[in-house]
Amino acid sequence: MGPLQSLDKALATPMANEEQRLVEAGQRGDVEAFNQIVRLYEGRVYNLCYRMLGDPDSAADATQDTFIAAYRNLRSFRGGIFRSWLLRIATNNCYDVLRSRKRRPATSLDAAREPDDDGIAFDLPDTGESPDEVALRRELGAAIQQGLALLPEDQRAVVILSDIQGMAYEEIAQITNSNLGTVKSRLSRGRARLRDLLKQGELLPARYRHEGS
Amino acid sequence: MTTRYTQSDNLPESDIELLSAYLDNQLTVAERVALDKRLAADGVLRNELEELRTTRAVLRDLPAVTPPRSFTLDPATVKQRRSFLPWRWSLQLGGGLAGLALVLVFSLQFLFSTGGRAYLSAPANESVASRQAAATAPLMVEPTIAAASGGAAAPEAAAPVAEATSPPESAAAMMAPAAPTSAPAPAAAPESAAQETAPYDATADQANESTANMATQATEVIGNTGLSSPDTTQLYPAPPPNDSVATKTEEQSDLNLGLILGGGIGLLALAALVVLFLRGRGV
Repeated sequence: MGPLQSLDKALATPMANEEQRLVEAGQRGDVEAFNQIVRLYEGRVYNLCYRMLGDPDSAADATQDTFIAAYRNLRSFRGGIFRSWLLRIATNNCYDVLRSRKRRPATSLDAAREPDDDGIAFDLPDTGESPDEVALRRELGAAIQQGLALLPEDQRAVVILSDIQGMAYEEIAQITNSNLGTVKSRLSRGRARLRDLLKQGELLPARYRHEGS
Repeated sequence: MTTRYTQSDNLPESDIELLSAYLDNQLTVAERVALDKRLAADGVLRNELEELRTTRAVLRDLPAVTPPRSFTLDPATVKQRRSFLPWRWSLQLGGGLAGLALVLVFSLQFLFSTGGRAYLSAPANESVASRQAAATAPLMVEPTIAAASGGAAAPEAAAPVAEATSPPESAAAMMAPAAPTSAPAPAAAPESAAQETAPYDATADQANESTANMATQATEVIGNTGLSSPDTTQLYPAPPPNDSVATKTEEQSDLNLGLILGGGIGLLALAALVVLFLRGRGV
């Protein structure tokens, strides 16, 4: 355990230092340095926004807004984990979009219910799956997206950050400005609700079901 | 299949939370041991755990979405946006300077009114008087008018008030002989110098009947300039006894000074708060 962790540290430190250097340069108004940060995180931010909002256009807008807001507020970032800070801006942006959608519900429901297959490109791993399997996977993906859209926003954010983005409870608590207990309960309720939705659609795959037993 | 799920749906929320945390290895050792025991004995609980585990696995396997484009910022656009920064800062700076200017204006007006009063009530020293005359020269118009209106009521006092606005040498000619000790009063704070002379004056021989009248008139003049409260004239409806005049006018000036300084400090604090607030928002 010791050697591995110190290796992790040795690998992580230059990365963190580089990120810190870029953040500081950005704070001095160096847009190019900030754009390197954008390139580092745009995939993660876009994915978060896409899962939160359910359609690629809103996700792209929210992602762009996130980076603009981050650049303009970069001076208010004073240490800590930059990624958490950035994803917090992104999450709040998504909340804003969802809130404004509630005032105009028609467009949002269409967008959430019909995740389009044309506009969005998934990083499908080339696993040699049959066309049927690919189709099933797509169906499952669409069902999950619909299920996420039906979750309360705070549960949705926690489920995405934890189970799709693979973050630890502590970081999720920072991003969502809550505590560990809240993260824990939101996550369990979100998972249980998604489980119910997937079961309703007979989409809880058998392959997964027996995986753990 | 449905029966199994219906059973598991009846689990209390606290159990589901335990199972969810168990999946993420977030339980304490004691909690984990206790839950392991329950899992071994309870099929419903086991089933629930597996379903949650499957749900989590499905989510984890969700393919990442490729962003449709790059989100790097265009330096030209962002630089333009950032040009709002100096604008905001200039607003803040302007606010601060405006506050400071207000303080200065009030101080100068105060300086003039106390200067006239101090001169009238008792002797002041030459340097202070001349500095006051020079410093308040641009502000003379209003108090002179006030002095004139006061003079209509009490002509004998109006003349010395007008004298205060005259060139330094005539003011110096009116000076009492006992002034030299306060001569090296600091130029940076003439109002305090004027104040210092007041208690000294009160004990001086110059505090006779006529100076008492003049001092009363001076407080009326101060009232007319609008700087002091309307109570001023009520405080001195008639010429008060000699000894108390200077003290009372000094109290009045302390009140004025306190109000003005308080207002000034308040304005500066407001400006500082605005700066802190905007900084807090990351501007």
